[in-house]
Amino acid sequence: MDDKNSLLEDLDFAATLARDAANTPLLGGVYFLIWSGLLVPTLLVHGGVVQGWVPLDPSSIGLLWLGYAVVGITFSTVFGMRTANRPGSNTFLNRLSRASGIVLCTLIFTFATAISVAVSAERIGFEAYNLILAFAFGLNAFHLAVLGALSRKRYLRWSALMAGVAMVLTVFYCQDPVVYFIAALGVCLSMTLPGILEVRAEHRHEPVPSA
Amino acid sequence: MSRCPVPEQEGQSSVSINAIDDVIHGRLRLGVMAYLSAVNPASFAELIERTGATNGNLSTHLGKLEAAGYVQQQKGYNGKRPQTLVHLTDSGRSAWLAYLEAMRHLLGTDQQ
Repeated sequence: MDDKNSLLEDLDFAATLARDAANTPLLGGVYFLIWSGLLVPTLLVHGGVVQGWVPLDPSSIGLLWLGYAVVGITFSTVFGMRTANRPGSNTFLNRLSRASGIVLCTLIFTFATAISVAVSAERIGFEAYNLILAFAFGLNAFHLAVLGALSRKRYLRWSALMAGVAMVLTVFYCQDPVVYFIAALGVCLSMTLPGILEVRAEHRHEPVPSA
Repeated sequence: MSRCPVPEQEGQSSVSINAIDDVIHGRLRLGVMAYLSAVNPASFAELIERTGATNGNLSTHLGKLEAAGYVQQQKGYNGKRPQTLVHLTDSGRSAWLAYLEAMRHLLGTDQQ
């Protein structure tokens, strides 16, 4: 009987560890907060400059976006190293989220470079830069939808929908300065919101006490 | 795969007892395999934190699992700090699934 109880306790211990590992929340919330925290003010300043509300030379917009990229990559690298050390960072969903996030950033960077080259070569007009917003929203919608489907988290599906709507609107208003303000709102709904919810879930998750 | 002394239940065949993998069947090794089945790879420090084992104890048990080919320890660096990552191998995953199946059969939960 003691053997049996001991066996059941061991199995219970193993089951608790497996359950705790499987319930590890998504750890990518901090990336959403970093990038959206930088993106929203950058978009608002960009829109303000184009509208003439912000007294900056329009030629400084390129530097603004360059600064955004440099600061974003720096913060992501610093926080990425911390996140990689968190227990549960290698669950299937967290690995998928990380891989998908890296592909997403690489594709946006490649697309932005292609647009810059094409504009420099005078193959397309300056307004083509605004298509980067639509492209980024489309990729983010895909990223969020996949994570939402696999994790069954409703807020991720909702955010994916918001990103999809933002993609459509940024295409529609591509040649209108209002596109930057629409994009800022889209970022709040499709990046800031899931970021806050993921970070909250991460802080709420308390690992089971070990044996 | 070796045999492990587990309580035989009434009406259960000895075949299922023979199927219990002794390498996995130990509290800490069981916990490690269970954790790695969901988080793969896991760092040595992470396994210490989650299982509550001591360094030496965990090293010993990981050594047994590694000798059986169920896990693979990869020593490297995380930044400038040394880090050991423990990977569940394909044969480890198969052995884990076989172990769960055998336990379920032994405890009679497969008939419910």
